[in-house]
Amino acid sequence: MLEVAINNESPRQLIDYANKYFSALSSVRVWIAVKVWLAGKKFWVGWGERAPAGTGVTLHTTMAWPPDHSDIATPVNTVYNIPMQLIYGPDIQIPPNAPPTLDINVEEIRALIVALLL
Amino acid sequence: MSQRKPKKASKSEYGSFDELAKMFNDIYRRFYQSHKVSSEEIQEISTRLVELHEFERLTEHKQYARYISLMDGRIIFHEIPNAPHGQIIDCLVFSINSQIDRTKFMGAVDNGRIPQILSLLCRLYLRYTSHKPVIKTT
Repeated sequence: MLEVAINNESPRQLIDYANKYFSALSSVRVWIAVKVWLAGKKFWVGWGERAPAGTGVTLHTTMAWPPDHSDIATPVNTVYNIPMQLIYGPDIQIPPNAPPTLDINVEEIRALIVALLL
Repeated sequence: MSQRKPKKASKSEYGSFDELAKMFNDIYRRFYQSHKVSSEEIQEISTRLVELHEFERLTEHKQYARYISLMDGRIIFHEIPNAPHGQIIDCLVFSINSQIDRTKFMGAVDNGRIPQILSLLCRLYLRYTSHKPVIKTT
């Protein structure tokens, strides 16, 4: 599940949605989210997986929420490495040539936002 | 999104389809123009239980139909994405597509379709950047 929010959705709403994506009625395995605040030129990137209890999200991020959220002008040397086992799940064989992790390069996302907004 | 138990519709909750269509079209017109729906309008449209065939008739040929859903018999107006929402999504899709086996996964956006033409900006950026960031995993 990819979620991108440009101004829309507060941090609380984003997490609320993430919790609902990982409901007992869904098969969502990973949630990747990008939040951009246009006026302040700030951004946040994180990902989540199903909580051990079976529902709700366990959030993974190195980035802070407001008021300490990251400026889009400041490079971020972060790559989230999401285990492929988590992406494919227990019942699907991972292809032998697949990388061990799905890499989400936050700096690439930041640079794209900069290219589009600044 | 909602996990409310679907409420069984009773006939008494339905006005005629024409009444429903008039109310919906009034709200849709304002939604189209301002990209917003007031809390009063949400309340008004939420009092009606709508069936799928009615929802399909109401939203047919509407440009913003992709931002309107039927959930548990209630019509929901979503927020209109702001730019550069599409470009960031496209970049993420391109990046993820290059790392997973596409024979095992199928992408889907909004109404179930995914764009086949990826943005040149994203392709060029990913191809020509050569920096090696510090890898962190949380």
